[in-house]
Amino acid sequence: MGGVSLAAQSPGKMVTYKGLEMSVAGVERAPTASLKDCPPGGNTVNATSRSGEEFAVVKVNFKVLPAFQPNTMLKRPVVTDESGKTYNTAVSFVDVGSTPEFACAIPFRVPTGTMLKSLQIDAATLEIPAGKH
Amino acid sequence: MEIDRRAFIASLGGTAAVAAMDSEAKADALEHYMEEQLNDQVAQQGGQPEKFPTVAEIEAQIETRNVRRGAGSLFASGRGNVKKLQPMPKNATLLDFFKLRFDPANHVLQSATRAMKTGMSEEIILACLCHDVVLNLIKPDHGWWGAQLFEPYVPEKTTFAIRYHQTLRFYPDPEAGYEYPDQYYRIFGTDYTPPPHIEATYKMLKNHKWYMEPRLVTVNDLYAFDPNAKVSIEPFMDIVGRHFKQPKEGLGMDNSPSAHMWRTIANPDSPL
Repeated sequence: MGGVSLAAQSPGKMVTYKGLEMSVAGVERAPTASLKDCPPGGNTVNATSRSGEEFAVVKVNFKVLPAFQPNTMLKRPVVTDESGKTYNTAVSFVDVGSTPEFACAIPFRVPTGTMLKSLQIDAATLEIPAGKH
Repeated sequence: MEIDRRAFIASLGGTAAVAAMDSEAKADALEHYMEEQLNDQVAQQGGQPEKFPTVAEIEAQIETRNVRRGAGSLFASGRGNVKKLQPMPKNATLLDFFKLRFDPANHVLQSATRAMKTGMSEEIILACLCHDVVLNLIKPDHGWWGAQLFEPYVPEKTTFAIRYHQTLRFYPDPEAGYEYPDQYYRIFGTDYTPPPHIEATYKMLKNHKWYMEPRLVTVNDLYAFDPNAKVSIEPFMDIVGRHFKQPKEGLGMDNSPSAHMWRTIANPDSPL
C-alpha cells in the first residue's frame, strides 16, 4: 500500500463477542485502501480518498471460538474519533466462521489526521488505545 | 519483458486455438498479454502508487484500436479471434443464457453471492445477478440497457436497481458502504466528471424512496472482483424461479419489448 504510516505495533485489549475473540492490532494511514471483506478474500478493487482525507485502516485480529454460531450476521464496523464523531466503512463481515483465525484491514475514510478512539463491531466496542490511533 | 510461453498459449485457449489464429491476431494477442503482465507488475510494485491516466490520455488511445470500447463482449475479443458459439436451445431460459452467452459471468455471480451472504432482499440479489450481463451486448449506458433487457421479466425494484446502479457508481456513499473505486480512475481517467444527465439522475435518486435499491447493487459491485472466487448460478435458481417471469416461448421469442435484445445476444454473428 503506497504512503502507509504505521501508528501502532503492540496488540490491543482482547474482546470476546458472540464466540469471536477480537483485538485491534493497529491503525495505518494511507491515501488508498484495499477493499476486502472480513475475512479477506482476493478482491482487487481499491478505494480512493479525496483531498483533505485519508484512510484510517484499522487492523483487527479475530479468532473463532467453539461458541461461535455458524451463519451469525455481524453489522458493518463503525469507528469513533476522539470528538465522538462516527465513520462508516465499506467492509462487511462475510463467511465469518469459514476460517479459525484471520486478520482484517478495515478502512475508514476520515479527514486527514483524525484521531480514533474506538471501533464498534456489532454490539462490541474495541478501544483503540493512545499510540495506536 | 520475459514472456512465459506456456502461460501465454494457455491464456489463448491452448495450442489448437493458437493454431487457428492468423499472424495479425497472434500479434494482437501477444501485445494484449504483455500489457496485462505489465499492469500486474506495476500493481505489485509495493510502495509506488499506481499512476492513473487522464481523460485526455484515454481519449488518445481511441485510434489505436480496431474495436470501440463500447462494443459488447460478445462482439469483440480482447485476446485473438472471437470463438464460435454454441446454438441456443428452443425456449431458451435465463439459465441457458447464463451458460451459453454470459459465461463465465463471474463478476455478477460474485456480486449476487455477496448480496445473499449479507442478507439482502431477493429483489436486490436478483438485480446483482443481472446488473452487468448486458455488457455482453453493449457497454455505454449499460444500466439503462440492462434495465430495458430485464424489465418485462423481473420485479420493478430489480429493474430500478439495475437501471440506476450505473449512475450511483460515480458517487461515494460511506454511510451505505460505497467508496469510489480506483478502477474508475483507470477506465474513465482521474479528471473525469460524469456528464449532465448522470448528475441529474443522481440528484433525482438522492431523494427517491428506492435510493437504496441501486445503491446496494453498487455496494456489492465493489466487492465482486476476486479473480480466485469460486461461484456458480446454482444458489440463485430458487430466487430466479420465484421472481423471473420466464416466457414459455423462450427469451427472444415472446414478442416482449426487449425480445429483440435477447435475440441479438443469442445470435451475435448475424450480419443484419
